[in-house]
Amino acid sequence: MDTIKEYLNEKLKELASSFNWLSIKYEFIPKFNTFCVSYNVPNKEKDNEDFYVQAMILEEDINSKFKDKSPLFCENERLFSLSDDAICINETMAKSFNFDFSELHFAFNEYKFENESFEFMNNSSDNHYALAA
Amino acid sequence: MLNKSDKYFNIGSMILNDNEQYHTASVHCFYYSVLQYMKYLLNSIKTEDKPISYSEQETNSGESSHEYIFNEIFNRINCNGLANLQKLKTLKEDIRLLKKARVEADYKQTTYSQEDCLNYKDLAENSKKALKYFYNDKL
Repeated sequence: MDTIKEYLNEKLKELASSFNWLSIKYEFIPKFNTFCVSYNVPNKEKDNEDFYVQAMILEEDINSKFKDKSPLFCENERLFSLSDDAICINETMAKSFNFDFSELHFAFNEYKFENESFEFMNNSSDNHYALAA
Repeated sequence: MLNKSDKYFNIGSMILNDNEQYHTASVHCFYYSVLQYMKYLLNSIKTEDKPISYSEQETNSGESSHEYIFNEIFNRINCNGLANLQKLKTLKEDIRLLKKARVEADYKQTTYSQEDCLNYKDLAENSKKALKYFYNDKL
């Protein structure tokens, strides 16, 4: 199941990175003994032909690879309900997946070195950027 | 086979309405009703759409015989245009869920409620309607 999850996660992130409006949720549902994937398609994007083509290519690829163990797919939880614990993927997360954290570390150190007043950020509770870093 | 498909669907409906203990068994009937309908379509389509006779379908009765039927059915569907694409995607989703539920119902300890089984009945009915829509001009 780990292999399926890993592969599924990778493919869904690829799909999400192609459509900035798309978010995808998935989780393992014991009743079906497999992962269940739901695309969140907003009403204004329901006419996006390219999305349907890309999603079907992804699903066929996964079906041919995992056969009877393949995940199930649907739109907007039409066929199954997902819990709050479901994994959520959207464009931002999909793109950050490939982010080079070593470069971030390097930039962070440089900034600290050049700006002595940086320290105040760590003591400020209402500075969201400090918390995010 | 068309007649058999209808009978399986009716038997599934009877089980569903009859006794609470047997709800889960109806899923088997609903799934096979759709599969039999697909087999009928493949056998009955016009020559230019490359029909597959029942005996020919039998020669592909290995481990993935159902997948073979699905693929042959899906490959013949015209998915030009948004409406057809959406309809085809829905059809595939419904059939995959129905297949998964059938495996759980037949081979695993899973039991389904009447509400679940009514949903599977709807999926089977909608799948057959969608197949009829796609294959109407091929028969």
